Amino acid sequence: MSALALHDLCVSFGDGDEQIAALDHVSLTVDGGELVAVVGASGSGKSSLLAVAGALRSPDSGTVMIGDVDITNATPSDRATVRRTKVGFVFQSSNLFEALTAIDQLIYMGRLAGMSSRDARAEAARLLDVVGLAQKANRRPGKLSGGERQRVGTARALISGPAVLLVDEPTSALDHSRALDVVTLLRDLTHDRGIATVMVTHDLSVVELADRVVTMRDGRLGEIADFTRVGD
Amino acid sequence: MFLARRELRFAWGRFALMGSVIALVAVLTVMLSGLATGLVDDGISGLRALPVTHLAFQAHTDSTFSRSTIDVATVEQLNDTAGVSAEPLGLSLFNARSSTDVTVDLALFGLQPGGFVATDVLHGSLPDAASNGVIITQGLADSGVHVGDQLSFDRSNTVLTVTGIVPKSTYGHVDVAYTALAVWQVATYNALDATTATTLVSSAAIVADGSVDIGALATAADLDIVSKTTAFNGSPGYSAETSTMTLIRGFLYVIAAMILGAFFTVWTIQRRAEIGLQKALGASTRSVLFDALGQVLVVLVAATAVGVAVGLALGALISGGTVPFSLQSGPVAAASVTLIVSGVVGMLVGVRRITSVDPIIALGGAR
Ligand SMILES: Nc1ncnc2c1ncn2[C@@H]1O[C@H](COP(=O)(O)OP(=O)(O)O)[C@@H](O)[C@H]1O
Ligand SMILES: [Mg+2]
Repeated sequence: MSALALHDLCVSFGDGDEQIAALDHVSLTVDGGELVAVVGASGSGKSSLLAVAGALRSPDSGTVMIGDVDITNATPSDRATVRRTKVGFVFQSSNLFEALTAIDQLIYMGRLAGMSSRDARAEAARLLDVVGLAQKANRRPGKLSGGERQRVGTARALISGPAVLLVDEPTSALDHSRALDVVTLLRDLTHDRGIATVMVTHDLSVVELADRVVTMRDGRLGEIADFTRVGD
Repeated sequence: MFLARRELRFAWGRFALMGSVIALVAVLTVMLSGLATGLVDDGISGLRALPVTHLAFQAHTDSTFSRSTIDVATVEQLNDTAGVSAEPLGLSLFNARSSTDVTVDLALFGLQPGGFVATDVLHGSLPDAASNGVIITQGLADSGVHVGDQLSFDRSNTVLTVTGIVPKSTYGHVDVAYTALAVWQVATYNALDATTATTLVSSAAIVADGSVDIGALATAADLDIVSKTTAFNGSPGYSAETSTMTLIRGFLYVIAAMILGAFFTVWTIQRRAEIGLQKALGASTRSVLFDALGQVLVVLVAATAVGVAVGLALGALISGGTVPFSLQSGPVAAASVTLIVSGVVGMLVGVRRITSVDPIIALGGAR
């Protein structure tokens, strides 16, 4: 059984009189411990894919399974439960709370996922150490660099012990060497923890770190083996 | 409250700004409450002090002492009813000049010697009719009238000697004085002939037990019989003053609600991204809402407490001066609670839009 199984998903939006298919019969399965990169131009449907896979929205048709749980038509409150327990999100531009220190970002998420405050604090400290930010645990986002913020965001996504990690353009605000650092970290965590990770990006320079690369164009998915030709 | 508490600390400047607006409204509320209570006291404290349940007036006189005239015989009939004690009560406003040339306005009560009103209000110190004595309240003493002074009343040839001073009491914003009923009758009705006795009086003081049918009693005696608090309305200016105060306070609460509503609408709009993020991470709409409300309630209660404290301090400076001002815990507490309730109503309006924030906005790309 795959950790994440998307089958025949369709999502479309009204655009004036026309319907735009953001996802057009998309199927994708990701196993635990696998990092899948999704590359495609802006507007190709990458964020829509993450939204459906991460229970932020329901698809118009198709099925979404996380492990053996079918979340396709879950109610909004059930989807919220899935998001806080089974899914980790790493957002574009990190999306941290400006009022919280690095460690509190993680504790907040741990508490949401149902951990006791003591467990959340201990696990948060451990994870900040894993991402190399133990020294900066008490800094707020305003006092962290872009790469550091992205690593805090990654650690936050992991504290609930998610089966699925969804990563949206993690490197868009980073220079090349920092981008490589962040994606390497993501890959290692994915492998070490057996998480099914989907990383959306249009940064081809980091794609080679993925276990598998799929392309997206006009809401349709294409699998390629040779990522060096993605840009063609 | 994990995030909410930390936001309070982090963005304290913004919360302090809103808090100080609320605190100012609270100060205003306390001052108005003191002024309202003070005005009411100034208007009717003399009436409120009467040990009566009801007052009887001539029919169709709007329960107003100055318009009502009834016969003492009618009062005796009332007194004969089972469960009712009644005695004549005179009240009229005068201008008087003292033997030391101090001019004062006063509300002169005429009390039945040995009656239950005189016993309760003056503890038996009412001078008898033959001595032409009058007991004044502290306000008149403060104006320069002393025990032993003679008071000459306008529009009558009455001259009374001050025999005692009792604590402050007022009626229609005028200081009260007490005299024997017969003396009051001469001063009030026999303006030219200060000797002839009369059987008229302005009203009856009544103590009725719960079983008495007041309506039937009034009809039988052809009188208006009203409760003591209803009689306040017949006091000069009373209803106009209280309704003005109520109007101003009402507006203040509406303004407080609107300020908070506007503030939290803007605050919620500003925080849309963070609210979306909370929801995207799996926080339920309910918990996000409760957090926000808890946050606001902290600010609201703290600011109200500060405002009330400042208001009480300012009030202490004002009271005792010439402005009728009186702070009492009941009205002040009621005003604070009403302010907080208005604030909560306002913030509910503002914070309501939290429910409509779609967690999908956390994925910047998807609109
Ligand atoms: N909420 C929406 N309303 C209307 N159209 C949308 C909405 N979200 C996405 N779209 C459209 O769906 C398509 C895919 O968008 P998206 O999933 O954001 O792609 P990507 O993340 O690859 O840029 C685009 O054409 C976009 O304009
Ligand atoms: Mg996108």
